[in-house]
Amino acid sequence: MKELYLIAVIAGEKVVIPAEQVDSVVNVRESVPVPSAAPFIAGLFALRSRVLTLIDCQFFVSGEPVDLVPGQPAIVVNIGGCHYGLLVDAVIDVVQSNIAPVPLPSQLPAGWCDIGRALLDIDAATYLLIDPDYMVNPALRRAA
Amino acid sequence: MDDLIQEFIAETRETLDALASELVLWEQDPHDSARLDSIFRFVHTVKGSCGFLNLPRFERLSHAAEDVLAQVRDGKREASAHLVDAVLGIIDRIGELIVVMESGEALADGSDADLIAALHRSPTPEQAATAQAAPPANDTGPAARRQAAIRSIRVPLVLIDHLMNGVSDMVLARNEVARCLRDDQNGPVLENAFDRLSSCIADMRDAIGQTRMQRIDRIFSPLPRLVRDLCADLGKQVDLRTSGSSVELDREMIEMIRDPLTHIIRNSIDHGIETPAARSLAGKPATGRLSISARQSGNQILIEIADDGRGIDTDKLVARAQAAKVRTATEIVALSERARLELIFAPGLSTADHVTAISGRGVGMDVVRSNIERIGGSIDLENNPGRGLRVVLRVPLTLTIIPCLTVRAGGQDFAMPRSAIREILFDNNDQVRIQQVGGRDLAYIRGECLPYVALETLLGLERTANPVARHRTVITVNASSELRYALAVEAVIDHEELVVRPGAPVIMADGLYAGTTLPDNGRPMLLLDPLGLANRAQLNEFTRAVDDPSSEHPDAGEADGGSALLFREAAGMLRLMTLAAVERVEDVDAARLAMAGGQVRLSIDGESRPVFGLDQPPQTGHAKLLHLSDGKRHVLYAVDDVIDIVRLPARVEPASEPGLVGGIALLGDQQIEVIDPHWVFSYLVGPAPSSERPACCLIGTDDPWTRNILAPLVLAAGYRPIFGAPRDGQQDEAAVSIIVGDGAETPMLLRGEVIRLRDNLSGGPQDADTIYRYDRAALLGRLINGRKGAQGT
Repeated sequence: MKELYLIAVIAGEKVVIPAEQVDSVVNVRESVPVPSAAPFIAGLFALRSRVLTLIDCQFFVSGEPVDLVPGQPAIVVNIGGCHYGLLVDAVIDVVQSNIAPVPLPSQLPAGWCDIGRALLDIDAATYLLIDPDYMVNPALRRAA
Repeated sequence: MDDLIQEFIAETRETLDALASELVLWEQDPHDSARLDSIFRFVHTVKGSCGFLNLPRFERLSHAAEDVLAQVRDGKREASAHLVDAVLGIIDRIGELIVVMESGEALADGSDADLIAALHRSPTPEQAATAQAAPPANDTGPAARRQAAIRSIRVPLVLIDHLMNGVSDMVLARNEVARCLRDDQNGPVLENAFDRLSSCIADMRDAIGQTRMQRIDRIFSPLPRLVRDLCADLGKQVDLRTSGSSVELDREMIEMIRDPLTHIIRNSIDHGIETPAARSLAGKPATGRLSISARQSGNQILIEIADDGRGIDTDKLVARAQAAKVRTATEIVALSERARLELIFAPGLSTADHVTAISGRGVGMDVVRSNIERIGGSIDLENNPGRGLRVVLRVPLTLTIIPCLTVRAGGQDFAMPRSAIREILFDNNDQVRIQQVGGRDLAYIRGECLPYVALETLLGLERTANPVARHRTVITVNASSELRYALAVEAVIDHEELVVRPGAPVIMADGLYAGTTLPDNGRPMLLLDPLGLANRAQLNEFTRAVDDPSSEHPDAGEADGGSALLFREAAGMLRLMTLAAVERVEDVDAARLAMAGGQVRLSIDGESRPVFGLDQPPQTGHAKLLHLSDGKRHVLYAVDDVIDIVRLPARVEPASEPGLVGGIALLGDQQIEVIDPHWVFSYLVGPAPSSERPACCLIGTDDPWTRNILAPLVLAAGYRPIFGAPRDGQQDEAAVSIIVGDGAETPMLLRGEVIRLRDNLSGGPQDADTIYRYDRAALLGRLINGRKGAQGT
């Protein structure tokens, strides 16, 4: 069975996200900060008449909040009835793969191993398969 | 009222449709208790709604059916086929009457005695047959009338949501087009067309909003009538207060909470609030209080129904539960107080001694709970036996249009629900005084003391360096019925009606925000939660102080001792001082304190004020001083540290002898001395400040002697020296005039005491009325006399 994956760049590294979880990819022109919210929340942005929460993917990995460049791409996902935009450096391509993901190696640095779910080989390259559920609400997994 | 009836009709029809299959199944197996319960609930609900809509025919029918069904439920009657038939007959009749009402015609005041009688008849086959054979006397031709009914259709919510999103998108698209149009110069034709389109879209947005949203007022407005009727029936007096009726709620939710709310109010009046006689015996005012309030808190709407009746008797409840075999004896022993209280929600249980037409069959609360939980809400009880019951319904906020105030803080815009806002003032307003007391900022607004926080501080934002508005705006917020505070923002921008949706869980988890909204400018905005902000600012301690249970009673004001400042004396002991007397707390530099005239005094605001509690000015560092004020005079009270603001108990044991300590208050089990501010003032305050003193005119030569030698003496004697003769219009002011120098003329129109000073010791007999300028005793004597005279007038 072939699955579709979206290749995106987070903190300079290419990662993949299952295309079935992706609602759309949009360019974020501007965002409104959410004061005193968790540091990985880059803000709110409007997509047509909806308000989406912008998640700073880079923060999980580098611990540095991102500076939004107008027009920067965000991957829109719908998790638990809420829409989020995962702010990434770039969105590269959609690829097909029928290779099953392999478990994460244990020696990944903390940030990467939190957002990653598995490793995936596509066309002789290995990508980290990221977990949007974790990124939109890290507290849930910690509680579990 | 008409729309309420329409709803009653729609709802009853719907339930009837849903019940049809249940009825058939029950007919087949009359012993099926689950079916019995649902039919029972139906008649109970009908009874409830129609009592409230004043439909006596429905009420008689449903009450009769309910009676019989209750007996079956309690096992007092067998659910015979005859009984089932009779109940079904009643339900059918209700259905027929509904059809008549739906056609818009008045209900004939027909008799349903036949059906009701059938319920109570012993089951002999022929009688049952007659009962069944009785045709619905005056309700013929229902099908033909159905045409006239107001037509309505049911639409799935998803579709409406989709429509709403579509309209919102349209509004944004329109705004963008508007921007483009402004940039290019276009002909008036295009602009007119665009304006038309704009107004169409605005209309549509309103309409679509109304399909979903409704003010809670819709269920509040019929309540006074309901309460009045109930009171009349039961011989009780109840004062109903509602608040928050402008809160908007999803229409779906409004429908779902109407019945639960009615049930709770019925219970409150029937079982909670006592008869006037019983209330006077219990030492309560004869008129009971029932307050119903709605407010938005976080992503929930809270509806609070509080009465000051007898509360729930849990022991009785437990006994009933045991008797009704809802719980076994061993289970009951293991129950916590909370769980015992929750027994009220068990089906078929009630603490009422008598079943009345109003309530008391124990169906109320289990139906209430299941209805509320079905829409994702919850119900909480707060029971104060003997003092009242507070029921809090929490209903989720799916999406609402909330009238909001948009405010700016730290360069960012936020929305705040207008329902929570009491007042908006500028901080340079005379009515507002902001200062630090005990390490906490307080705002005194027209004498009321409120905790004061800046929104930027709460949200961790930087204040804008050069705000456009010169003055900051202070908003007084009612976060809840007991919690008020003053919130400072950079500016208030606008009033807007905003469509609010819940935000992502990570944002809502903070409690600071109640949702997100998208105003017309297309920039998302956060809706602040006033209660969440208060929690963030840790104002809850203030709440607790005010949230004294006794404050629910109207006469609590006198019973309460008010707020007091708890502080540590330099000697180490804790003492209390009424907060009203404390104006502020200040750390002053030791250099400003000095020993003068046997007192430690502080130089402040160009005055020297006495300091109490210091024998010696400290050599270095700072001294913490309480500024006490009686409105005019100021004294300072040196303390080691300020600890807290506490609520004084109603009873303060007076001290045995008058002195610094006016009484002893019990805080917890600690005995703490309460300072008597009056004593402090009387001990410290010498002469009144200069503006309060009677004036004394020094007339004659304005020489150094008058200025430097005479004036201080006059001042020490309690006068305010004025140099020169009184000018017109000032004459009344001078209580005493001193004319200095032999050559000075006596001006006309001098009021009060006139003292003439002569330059030399020896004087002629014509100078009997004069005093030698260094005759201190005589001069002071005259001055003191003059003051007595001045006070006398």
